[in-house]
Amino acid sequence: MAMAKKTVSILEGNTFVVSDLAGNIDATPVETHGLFAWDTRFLSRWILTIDGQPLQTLSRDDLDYFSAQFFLVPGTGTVYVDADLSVMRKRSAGNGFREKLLVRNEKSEARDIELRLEAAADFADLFEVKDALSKKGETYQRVEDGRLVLGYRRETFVRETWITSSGPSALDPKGMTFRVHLEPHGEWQATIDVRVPDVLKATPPELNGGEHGAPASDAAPAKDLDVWLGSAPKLTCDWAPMARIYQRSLVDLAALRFFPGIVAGALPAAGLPWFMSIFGRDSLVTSYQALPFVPELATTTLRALAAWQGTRRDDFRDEEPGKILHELRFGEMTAFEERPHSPYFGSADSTPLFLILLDETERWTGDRALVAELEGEARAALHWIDAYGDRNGDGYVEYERHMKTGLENQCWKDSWNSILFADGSMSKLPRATCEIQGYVYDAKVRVARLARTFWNDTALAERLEREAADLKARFNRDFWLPDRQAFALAIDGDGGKVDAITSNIGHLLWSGIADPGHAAACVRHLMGDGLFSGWGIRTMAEGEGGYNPIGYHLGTVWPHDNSLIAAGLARYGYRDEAARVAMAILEAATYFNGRLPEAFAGYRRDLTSFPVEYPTACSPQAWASGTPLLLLRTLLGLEPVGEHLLVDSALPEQIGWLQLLDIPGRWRRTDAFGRGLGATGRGQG
Amino acid sequence: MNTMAMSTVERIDAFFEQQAKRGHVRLLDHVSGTVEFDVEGAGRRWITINRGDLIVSEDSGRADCVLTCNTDTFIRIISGEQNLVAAAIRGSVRVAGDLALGLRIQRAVSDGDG
Repeated sequence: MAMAKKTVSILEGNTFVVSDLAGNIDATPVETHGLFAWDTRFLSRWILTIDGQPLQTLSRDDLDYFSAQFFLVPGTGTVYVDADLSVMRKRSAGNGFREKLLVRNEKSEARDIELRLEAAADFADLFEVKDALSKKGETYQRVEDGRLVLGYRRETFVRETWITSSGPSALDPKGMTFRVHLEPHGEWQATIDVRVPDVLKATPPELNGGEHGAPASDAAPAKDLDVWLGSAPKLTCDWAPMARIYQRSLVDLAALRFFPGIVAGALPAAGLPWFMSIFGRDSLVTSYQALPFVPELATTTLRALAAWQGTRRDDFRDEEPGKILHELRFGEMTAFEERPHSPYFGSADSTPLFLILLDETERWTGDRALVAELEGEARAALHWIDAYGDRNGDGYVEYERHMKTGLENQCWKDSWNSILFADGSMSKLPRATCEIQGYVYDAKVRVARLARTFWNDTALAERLEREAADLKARFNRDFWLPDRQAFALAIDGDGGKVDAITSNIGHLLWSGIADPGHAAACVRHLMGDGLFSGWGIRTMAEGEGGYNPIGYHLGTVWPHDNSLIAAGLARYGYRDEAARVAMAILEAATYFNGRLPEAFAGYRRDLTSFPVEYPTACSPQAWASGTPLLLLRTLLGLEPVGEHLLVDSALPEQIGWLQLLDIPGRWRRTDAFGRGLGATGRGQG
Repeated sequence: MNTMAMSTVERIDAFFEQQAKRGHVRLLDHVSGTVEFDVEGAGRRWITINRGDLIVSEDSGRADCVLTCNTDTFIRIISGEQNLVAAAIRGSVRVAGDLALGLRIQRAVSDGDG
């Protein structure tokens, strides 16, 4: 029975709830159930019984991402006996959750029942849940003023869950009991609120007058989702699955909105369940993907990351002045500095990606004020690239953690064993991966535009343009592998070219750093059998020493990776290739009900008739959810030019026409239409 | 300055005197607001930022953010030894009001290589 059973997840704001199919929460080492907020589990047990008996599920509805409904009857479910009681349990997430219970007597005789909700909280830090670590403080329970308080204390660190109910109930330290009299065919109902504190306004409850966030009303998130969907562009397409994939993307991005607190608005959290937090790289890439559709995500991401920008050297956090953060957490292990996430800065690419997104956001939205507002942070980010990012003065940005608690790999392929030579052997630190150099090139070209157009600083613009041109020339020489006709994955600590063939070379097209001749060779790799599986481009080519079709970054296919590569292919004029990659990923999405997972296996398409999901992939994952949006942009060839939106579509053969109405931007709203069937004028550009 | 020879309260006074001399802080160009530092045993101080211009006072009254802690924690924070975010979520610094403002000002006034 070690296999995890099916779960139901709902989320809203910074809260998410994972339960079984009956709505019960029963956390065990193999079941990551719970009510989670601020990286802490505020409920680990929440079990409904009637007269001491468990309930069985007749059906359930995931109404929305923020609510779920469970239809239950008494009994264990082995032998179904006509039930004489019906139970409905409806739960909505938001600052904890609100649960509505409705019990109906289906018989013509009155009866008395005892309904019990058992509650407990272990206050595990998500890091502890993930690594099965034990707690260092004490839990406590108390009943006061009509509420049950579940608490945890370790020195000054205090977290409490407050539970109240609308109807009369008997509270005890382990839960609440309702003694209910039901008339013939009578009904009973109650509303139970489970509240968690806002940790950013976090003071121990006894010191702040007991302020806990109130669960949002049921109607608010539904209305909010309607507004979100209503303001996104409208899509129609003759390829039927597209509408569903598009809708799924928008809803999942709405669900993943995280309220950073430090600035107003919402940004994309990285993914459910492990990554409901700000991640520099993931939030930046997702915001970039979503710019033509929901540009407000980019604005909040840029402001929040600017507010958290590094100001000092702090080796524990890999922080340096001007650096953009990697990950921010609020759990107990972060609080006690057993983990460096307050915030942690171990990412060598989020700083150039920040600059790329700043420029791209202005190109779409025309928000000059934002470019002026973030000028200081942008200059500090530029300074970080040259003064700190380039650690050994060789003209490339490389990374190496300062402490054992940091990340070994600080590029997007952040598993410890991702940067391998062709023979499968491990490269040495510090590592300068190729795609980061591409991002730096792009960042400098883009900031040169910002400096000239908005900051009235021609000298900076000219310097950046010189540096970018120099970087491009050096990179095309130093990273090129003549015998493999590809760019090296990285230059490692020994100065060796890490020569495995990987998807990273696709990012060099997205950034524009590759010379056209080298780009053509890369395209042959990207579309060849080694990298292209038929479902997308693999992280590492089949045939490499380290290749593993189910290795996290060693052969799986990552949708977001493919979305950036397709954009790069289109940038260099390879529109047919871009359309093939886009279509492969969109077809894969149809096997996951329109929701792309973080990654799927790299098996050849003719080997498996469907894409095989990577076992522990997060779902939904923000940049996987953003993938169809960037693919749509690439297929339609959407490009802001001055005050206008250029449309130049190149569709795959499966799609006859594609229409996107009311695209927001500096033009206010505009439409794009793409038609398939022998589009002409394609080729290298 | 030889901070080793100073008492805790003197070090805190010296910190605020030093801040008062800074005038304009570029890192806070886009920031306006008042933070109250309520250091148990060393009194209350207010730092007001007006688009980067910094003023220290001892009786400002209203604040957008109040940070309360003991003298040891305060010294560790201004010397850059203690991260404020970790301290806030641990509860060794109590925060009322706009934490974002408190964080920004703290990051700009604490010692660091930047």
